[in-house]
Amino acid sequence: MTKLKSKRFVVFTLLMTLMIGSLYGCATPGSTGKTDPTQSDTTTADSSGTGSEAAGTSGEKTVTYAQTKDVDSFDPRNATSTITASMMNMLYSSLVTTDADFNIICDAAESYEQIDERTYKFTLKQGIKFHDGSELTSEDVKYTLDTIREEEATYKLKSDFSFMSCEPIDEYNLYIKTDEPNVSTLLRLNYVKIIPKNYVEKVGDEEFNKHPIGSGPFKFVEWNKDESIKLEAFDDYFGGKPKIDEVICKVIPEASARVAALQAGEVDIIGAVSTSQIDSLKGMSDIEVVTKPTTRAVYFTMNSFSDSPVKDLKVRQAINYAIQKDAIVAGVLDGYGTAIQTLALPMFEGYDDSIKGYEYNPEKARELLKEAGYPDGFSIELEGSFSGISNGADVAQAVGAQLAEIGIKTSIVEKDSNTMMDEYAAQTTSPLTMWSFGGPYNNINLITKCVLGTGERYSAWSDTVFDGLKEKMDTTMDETQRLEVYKEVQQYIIDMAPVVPLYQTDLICAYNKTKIKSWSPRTDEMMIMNDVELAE
Amino acid sequence: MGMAKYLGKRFIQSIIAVFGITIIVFIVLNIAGDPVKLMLPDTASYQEIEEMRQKMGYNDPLIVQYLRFLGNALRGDFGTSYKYNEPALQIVLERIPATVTLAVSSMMIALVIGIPAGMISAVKRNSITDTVIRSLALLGQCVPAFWLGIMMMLLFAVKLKWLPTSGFDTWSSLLMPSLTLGVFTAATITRMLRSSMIEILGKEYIDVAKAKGLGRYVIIIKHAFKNALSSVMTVIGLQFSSLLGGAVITETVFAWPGIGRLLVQSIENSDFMVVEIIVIFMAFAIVIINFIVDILYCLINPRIKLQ
Amino acid sequence: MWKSLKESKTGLVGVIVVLLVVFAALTANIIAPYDPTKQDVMNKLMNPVFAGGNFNHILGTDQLGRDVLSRVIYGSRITILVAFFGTILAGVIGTLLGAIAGYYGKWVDAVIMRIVDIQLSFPFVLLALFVAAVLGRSLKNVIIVAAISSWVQYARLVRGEILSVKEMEYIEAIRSVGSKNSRIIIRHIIPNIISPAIVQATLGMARIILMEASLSYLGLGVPLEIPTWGRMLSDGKDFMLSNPWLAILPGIAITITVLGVNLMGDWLRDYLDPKLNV
Repeated sequence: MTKLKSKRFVVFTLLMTLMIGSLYGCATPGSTGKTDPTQSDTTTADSSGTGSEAAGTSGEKTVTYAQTKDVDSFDPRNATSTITASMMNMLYSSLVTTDADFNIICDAAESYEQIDERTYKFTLKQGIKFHDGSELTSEDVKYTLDTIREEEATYKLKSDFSFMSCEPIDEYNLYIKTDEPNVSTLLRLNYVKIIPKNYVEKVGDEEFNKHPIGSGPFKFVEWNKDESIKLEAFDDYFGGKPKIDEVICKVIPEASARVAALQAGEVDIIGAVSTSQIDSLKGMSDIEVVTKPTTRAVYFTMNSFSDSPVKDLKVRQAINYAIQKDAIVAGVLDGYGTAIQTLALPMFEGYDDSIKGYEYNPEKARELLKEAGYPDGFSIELEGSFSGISNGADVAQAVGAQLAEIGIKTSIVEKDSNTMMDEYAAQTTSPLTMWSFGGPYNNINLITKCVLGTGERYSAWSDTVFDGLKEKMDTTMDETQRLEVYKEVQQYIIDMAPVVPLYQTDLICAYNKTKIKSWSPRTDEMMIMNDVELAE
Repeated sequence: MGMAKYLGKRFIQSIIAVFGITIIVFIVLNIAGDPVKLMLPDTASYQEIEEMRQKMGYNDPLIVQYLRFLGNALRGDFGTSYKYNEPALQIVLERIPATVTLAVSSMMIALVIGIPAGMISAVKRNSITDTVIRSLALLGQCVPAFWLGIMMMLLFAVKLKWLPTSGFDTWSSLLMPSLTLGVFTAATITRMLRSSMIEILGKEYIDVAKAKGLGRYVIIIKHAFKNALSSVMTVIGLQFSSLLGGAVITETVFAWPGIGRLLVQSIENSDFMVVEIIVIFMAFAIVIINFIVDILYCLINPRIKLQ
Repeated sequence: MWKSLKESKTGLVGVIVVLLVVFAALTANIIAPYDPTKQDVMNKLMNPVFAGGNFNHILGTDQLGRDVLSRVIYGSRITILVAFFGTILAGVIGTLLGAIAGYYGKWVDAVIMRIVDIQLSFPFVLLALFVAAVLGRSLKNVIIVAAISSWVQYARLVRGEILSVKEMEYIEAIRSVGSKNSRIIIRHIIPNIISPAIVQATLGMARIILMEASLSYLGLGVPLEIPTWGRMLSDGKDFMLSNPWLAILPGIAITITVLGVNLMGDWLRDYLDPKLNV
């Protein structure tokens, strides 16, 4: 999968608006929400009335799906990659979670309210059972956050969550406090999967990772590394027994092999389908292709530290004028994506379709190159970790061809993301670097910070004006004022042209519709089987 | 020189070679970067990364880091895999059965096809059979593994539904990856055996044997094949050691949980300890295979003295 | 030599194929109908003319609308360069080191064979990644990777052959006359082992051509704007169901070339080793 999420999921600075909108929580579980608060304590009653069908069928109801990579860990405190986080969503529950479209909904919490800007009060549902039969209480939530925070702890999520702590009030009521006011607390809590205190203390972390116990809809059965994971339905799940008996997750790294496995009927659902395979899949009557716009943006950074022509503003603008995003989305991606003008994606807060970026204008681009002193163009290197981006190599070559039209010759070099992260740190990335940024976030704060801020992880630019705007963006709490700041930021990015925003990606998945009735990919790119429904 | 002394000497040399390889890999990995950046989230600043680096000991001189690694390794502690947060040795050991299974089965396929094909081809030199075998052997060497693998998958799994597309659960899932790897090795063995046997069949002592009135099959098997084996053995040894090192592409195509995929992932994740252990495992495997090949050389061809 | 070539029909075919590929490589800019990097996404994924396409693009177009025929023609350049120089480099290093190890034996042999062991246990992927990380991505580095990863084959083979040749009586005889070691290696031993080495070289060339494909598959190949058969093959595998020609055509190019090299190798061996002329 793509680089950012495969390393760890991105931490996000989420917006107050969203939070305030749902301050008194859990109002809208949404159609895809896995919990229904009104029925939380009846474990056998099924909210949608399919329980009788489940009882009437004697055969095992198994859903098999294929992922590109294996999970890293079964300890949610180490769950950094999107694939691992997806698995955690099936095995564990958290206070709140998100639905397929990224709305916050209650999970183990019955309700919550914000007490002050650093404190939330949560009430847990009663009678939530872990897979070993013990009950989930405030103490387990406290234990989860305490262990992450410990001085000597080395959990991979430590720096993401160590600003949070839990103060139990009683068995079912607790406060979640943050060291600083933090607008993203609720969204982050989706990743704090609650672990059973007594069990983990008894067996230790290593054994816990081997035999994990959570309170989610599925129980862990076995893990064969880089091969398969088997889960089975948890009968006493507080949200009602899942509609399927068994989930098998297979690891199939090769894209063609995933498609073959789906066609052969060995797996029911596959993710990360590339556009090149859609045609052959759509030709098959029993296969349904489903897509979802994600939070992943694909763009080029231009290294302003390098001794290359892109240091010149006019050259950067020329490059922006030379690239025809719509043609790339339509021609290379077959329309599976959305061209973007700034780093703001259409679903983000702060997105404003009145903000126009660079239109395609090769004459203007040539003129600017001439003004910059390159009437005959020049040659530069273009790099990227193309295998990590769906159709990445084709997009890079299409961009190369468009740049050639205005006289810029590119040498297109593939690198692994690891090397490129070192290059970003050392400020030695190629003049043009293709990268993608995605994960659980929904506003422009995070992406602009990480991609353009001085000294940030994926930034090849340093600008004090921008850094000032970034600060303003984070600290402006008033909604209308903040929207103004967002406009200002986006206009500044367009004026200074440190990046070439290309497009927002679509996640393409496919399933066997003779077996699966409905299943949906998610905006945050996770693959979760909690709500999958089998065909009759 | 006695066998025991020879083996002892080779053992010491091999240990030195294994040390050599650990040093080289250690240096190479360190040049390629450390895993600290992958251990922290995107929002971590460079300062936090630097602090972590200091804490983990990545700022120490390389020699200090190496000695620390070596000291721990000699005490049986191969460190922890950053990716899995488990003992690195255990991670590698878990993959060895899959790798060995695939290596052995593909080598068996290669021998079963390659040896008879090579012999027939040599004996019936320039016949139609020979031409067919040679053409097939050439083809077998021209097809890239990922291409052959996906083609077989489409045919046997998707169209005919005889075999599963991938996985490591049943014996039937072993067949396609073994064939993918075995075909190339079989082709190599066929060609090597054919050319060696033709060369030997043209030698004078074969004429002498013929003159002595020895039967045709006796000559082919006892003289030509036996003598041709030494060059074939080299090829087999080389192929087998590279199979044990994991066949990254075949493993990727068939989702085979072997060492090759683990190695690539571990390099991507800078999971140093896992890479080191895989390399040490490969080094030992190769040393042992070389041993066996050397000894077999002598058994087949007693004129070669052990040295 | 010419006479021998005329007699061996397969050898002739091999030489002609190799010459054709070399010719294509040298004159690619003249004979290719299009610029191999010229994209035209409006006309992408066209079938070859014999599979329902049209004569504008005889072998069809790829996923970016580039002309496949032109790419195959230009691709021969890279294949020739990588296979030829990779094999020569590996063959020279390997044969020399193998011969020295086999002939001198003792500690020389031990040292060289330990280097061989190290090289063999050094994972190919790690080697390729390392060369790419330190020297960058370029054609030259693919050749270096090819050579480093294959010299061992020659070294081991040649050493093995030498061990058996060395004990033969006539070498003993020459040695007793007082010939210098280097002279014995070059004049008497190398000619004896040249035939397996050439077989190995033709095998090795095939291996290197495939290796270029594997490197492209693993994302460690030459820069993307350079058309290579390996990359075409690796890109084409995703279209195996919808547009199979994209993977089949470069596959045929590789197969024919490897076949030509091998046929030429077989003839060369017979020619160089008159003992075999039955």
